[in-house]
Amino acid sequence: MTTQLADIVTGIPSLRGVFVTAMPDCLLYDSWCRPEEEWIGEDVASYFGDLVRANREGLKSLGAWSSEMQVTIESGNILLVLRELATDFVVALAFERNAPLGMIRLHVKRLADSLLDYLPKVAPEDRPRGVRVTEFLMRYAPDSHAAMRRVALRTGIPIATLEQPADLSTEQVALLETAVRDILGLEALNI
Amino acid sequence: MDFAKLRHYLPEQDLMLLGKTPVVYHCQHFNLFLDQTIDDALGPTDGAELRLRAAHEAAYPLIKSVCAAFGASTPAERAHIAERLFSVMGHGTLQADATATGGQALGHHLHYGYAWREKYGERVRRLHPVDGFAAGYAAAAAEVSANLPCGSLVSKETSCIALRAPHCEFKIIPAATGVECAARAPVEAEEYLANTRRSFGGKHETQITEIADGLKQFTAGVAGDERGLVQAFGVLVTMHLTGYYNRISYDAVKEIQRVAPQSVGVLEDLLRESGHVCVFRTFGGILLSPEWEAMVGAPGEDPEQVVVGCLAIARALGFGHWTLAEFAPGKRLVVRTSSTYESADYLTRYGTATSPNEYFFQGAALAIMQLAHRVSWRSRPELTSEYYDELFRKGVPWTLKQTSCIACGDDVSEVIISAKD
Amino acid sequence: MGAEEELELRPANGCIKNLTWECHANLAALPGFLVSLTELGYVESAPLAQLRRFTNASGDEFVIVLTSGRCQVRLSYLTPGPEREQRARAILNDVLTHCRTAALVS
Repeated sequence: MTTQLADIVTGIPSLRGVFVTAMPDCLLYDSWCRPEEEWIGEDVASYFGDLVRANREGLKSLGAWSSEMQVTIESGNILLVLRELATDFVVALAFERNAPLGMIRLHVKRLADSLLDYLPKVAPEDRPRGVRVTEFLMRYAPDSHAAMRRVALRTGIPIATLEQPADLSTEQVALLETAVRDILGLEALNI
Repeated sequence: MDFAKLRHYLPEQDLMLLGKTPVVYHCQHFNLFLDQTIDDALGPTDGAELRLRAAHEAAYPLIKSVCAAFGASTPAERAHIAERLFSVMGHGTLQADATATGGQALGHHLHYGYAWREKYGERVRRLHPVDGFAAGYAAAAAEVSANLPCGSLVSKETSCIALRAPHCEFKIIPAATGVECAARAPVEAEEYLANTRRSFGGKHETQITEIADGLKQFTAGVAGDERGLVQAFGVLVTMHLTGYYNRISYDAVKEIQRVAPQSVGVLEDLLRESGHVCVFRTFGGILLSPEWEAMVGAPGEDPEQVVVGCLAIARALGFGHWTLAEFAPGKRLVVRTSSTYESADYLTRYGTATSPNEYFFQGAALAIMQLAHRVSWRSRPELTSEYYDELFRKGVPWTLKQTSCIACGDDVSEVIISAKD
Repeated sequence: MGAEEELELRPANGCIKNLTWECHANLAALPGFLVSLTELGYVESAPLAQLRRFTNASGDEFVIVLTSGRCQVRLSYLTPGPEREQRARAILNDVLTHCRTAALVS
């Protein structure tokens, strides 16, 4: 798998890394980095997925969303482009900061086409909402070591029950979701 | 005004007072986590209300007694002393402009709001003001200044830096007629002393006493800077009122026992966690500091010496006469004390407890075991939130049991930390 | 070679990011280092056992443990985030250069 992704990205001189995130669960599907990079795909993939999802919702509320949209971030010594591939994946491409933007756009377009052929057509498993809400909490909660206990206290649901989020009842998921929203200070969970 | 002269300790009990009022030193990690736990338990409205009332009730007798100690005789003098006291204790700058008919207060660099923004502001959006303590203090300060009984005024935070406002604002108004008075009789030096037990020593007693005495001398000169904050040992330190901590903790437990008994265990666990994070970050920060290295020597890899240092720190911060009863590296720690700031307050306010409930003492003992075994002192790690999360996300390798408790009527309080099988 | 190149200055434990930095520099062995710091505008606070603490007009603190040579630069809270590391290096560089020059002269 890794070899195939490496084959696809080979020959792009300014490319430092590629992270493919499977949606909607924001889990790392595949990644490639230059040997000298110390990035860990698992650490960043979920944030890229969430970022693109938030961006999509924001654009939709402005009536400005299109499936071709991409996010470009210029930061420090990196230029990052995030793009949705169909509805199943988000790809994040990290380029050298001084690479010409025009060339980057060209590379992104070509890579997106190649990746669409390379990535499987996924029939996403409909994972229980309780699982996804719990994962979202653990990803973003401050003091994550205490996050589940805080939810237990807020909801009255025992910790042991919360530790099996796939088995939560509809009512319990609703309580969980409210607690997570309040802990994170969000009006809604876009998951 | 030399506030430091008002600070003293109950002899042989290592409980600290400012004038007649029981106080301790606590960091922002403890303060924020404890307040958050109260709001998690009771919800943002009732939680904030309890915090506000507790602050009001605890601050009033302190401000009144300090004003009396300095011979303040006019409203302006009393308002000035209340303002200075707040800053000296490390809570920020709070300027109240209020009379018997109400008014307002303005807060800058308030400990809770400032620390919340520093610690959590980039990660989560807060929906409710955080400075319940300052709100209660502002009402109490205005009452003392105007020579009113406690409960005459109420205060509400209307603008908060934790909600990204430029500063904090409080509205102070007369309490509605018939509203429950905010204050019960204060727990002061006499009650504090009456609820300690006969003092005793433990292993390394001489060394612990010497270090604690040195630290007490050092902290005597610690006071808020021009912001009214105490930034030391890698934390933001406050001198705080035990009456505040104890009321919010024990009232919340009582309320959860009443309305959601199935959640009492997790509430107690989170109350312990506030002690755990406090000791890990504050005691750890002290052990890592150049000041500690100069006074005691840099911590090495001997866990027993780390425990000794921690017990001395606990005494200097006013937590009680914590002693080392037993220690087997990697296996077992037994901490015993004749006094804790929790039991002294509990016995006065609530009577005898039916089960051990010195949550801070419990969490602190566990954290001492962690510091002794899970930190590589020679590498001088930064004790960040990420470091803490990483270390404790998968739980801890120890079990904790409080085997006796002064609040239950026992002669000592004792916590045993043992390695998990 | 500049002083900052010789020493490994690293962030130290602190409650606010990058306000506290530390390194090892055996300044106490240099004759007249206390005078040098005064000449740089530092005011000494009361010593604490083997610890000496100095504050400059900007509110930055320079702390040294005499027995070990452990030094801390505690920047004023007013130092903007992006400038903190550079500012800490500049303070350390100033202190070291001045102390060494003074030692040579003496």
